[in-house]
Amino acid sequence: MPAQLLRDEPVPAHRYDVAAHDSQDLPNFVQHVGLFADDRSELRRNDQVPLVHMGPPLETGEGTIAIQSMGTAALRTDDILQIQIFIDDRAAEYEAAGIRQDKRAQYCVLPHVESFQELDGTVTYWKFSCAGFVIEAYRFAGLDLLITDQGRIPPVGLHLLDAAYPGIAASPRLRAHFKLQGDGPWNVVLAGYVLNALNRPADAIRREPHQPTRGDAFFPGHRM
Amino acid sequence: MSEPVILVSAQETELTSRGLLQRLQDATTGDARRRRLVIEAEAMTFEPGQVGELNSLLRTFIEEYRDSDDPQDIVAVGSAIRKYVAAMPLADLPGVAALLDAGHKAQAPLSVELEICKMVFRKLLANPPGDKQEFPELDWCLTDVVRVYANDRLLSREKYGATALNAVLALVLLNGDRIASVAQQLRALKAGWFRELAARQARNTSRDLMQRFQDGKADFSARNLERLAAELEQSSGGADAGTTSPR
Repeated sequence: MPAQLLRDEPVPAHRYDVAAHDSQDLPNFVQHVGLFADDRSELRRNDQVPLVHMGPPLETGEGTIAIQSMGTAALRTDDILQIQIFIDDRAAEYEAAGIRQDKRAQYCVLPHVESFQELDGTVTYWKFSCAGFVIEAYRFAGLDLLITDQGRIPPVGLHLLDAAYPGIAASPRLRAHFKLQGDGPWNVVLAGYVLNALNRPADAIRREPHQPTRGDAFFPGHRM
Repeated sequence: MSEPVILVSAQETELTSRGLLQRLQDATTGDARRRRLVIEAEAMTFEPGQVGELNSLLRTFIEEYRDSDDPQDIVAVGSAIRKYVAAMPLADLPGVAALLDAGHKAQAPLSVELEICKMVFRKLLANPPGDKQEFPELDWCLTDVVRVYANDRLLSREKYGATALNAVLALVLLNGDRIASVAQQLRALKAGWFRELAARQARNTSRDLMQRFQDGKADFSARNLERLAAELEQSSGGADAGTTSPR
């Protein structure tokens, strides 16, 4: 199964497959996604797993996080080597971000990826959301998981946004920092969209990107 | 050299670009504070009139610390390189070649070489060179990086592939005459995955340039990248299928 809820029966996972962490307040709402840092022969629900993920800042397997579901695009060794180059290319930018006073400076919510540029347009560093990091890492390796054109991303209201980013509903200042103007809804790429993009046959994952729907904020996706 | 990281004070969270420059210039600023200031500078916006002063300070910092064996210094050197190259005018880019010089007293850490190659590539993406612009020193250094790192023994190792990829793409943007030799070197690789990646990045970057510069300013660069992609794709399915083992 390309994507699955984890249970007590162990399943294997491979390096750079997608790991997902659920919200503690909203059942089956996917709050966070990242990449498995290593192969795992036995994976169960709530296992603490080292990830390569956008915390922020980017972590490359240092800490662990409890996961409840996972997805795989049946990555080949070639894909893994290409994703590794994407990570290597940006890792130093995030090592610096981890030291900087404002660690949010290299995180973005809307859009899912953006750059910090100098006056002539030269990119100094890249920012990602957690979902954005996974999506762009896979794109770099030629796997386009998800449609991310702003006009085709389902609008997200304050309730779901707060499940993704706890505390953001009560903080207009935090929303403004992340370019979430007004009262919403906003076309934010949520972590659950990535997992639902992987909940398709392997050949479909490689053939075309998934069109996210509102119910894809959850896994398994809700039909709305 | 390994001092604990000093957390910035409340005043430093309000640090202005002018204040940061003054502290970087202050001879009494210690190593750890200097590192921290350089890292903060990367995410700050400076007035055009401050960029020359900033870059002079960053260049000094890079040259002083690039050979350090303290990982904290190297993180700050990476920040300094990114800001230095991103903020500099294109005319200053040839001066970056000296930072890649393999004949320096000590071999620069690979992570430093990666940041330099990456930022040269990004600089050229924002300022696509025309066919009359020449950067012989950079051309030589990048050619050397590609020659040494784009080989089967190194490409799959941490940071080597990323360094080689950035050097390949920057070199092709700098000098269209290099396309044939770069393509020939990559075609000889068993690492089909790297050739495929280089072709994809070249093609995507070419399209991106054409979209961003509709005044024709990037035509030369976009054509070079497209030529590289075409030459690499011709060879796919040739030398080997690489490491395409399904899992």
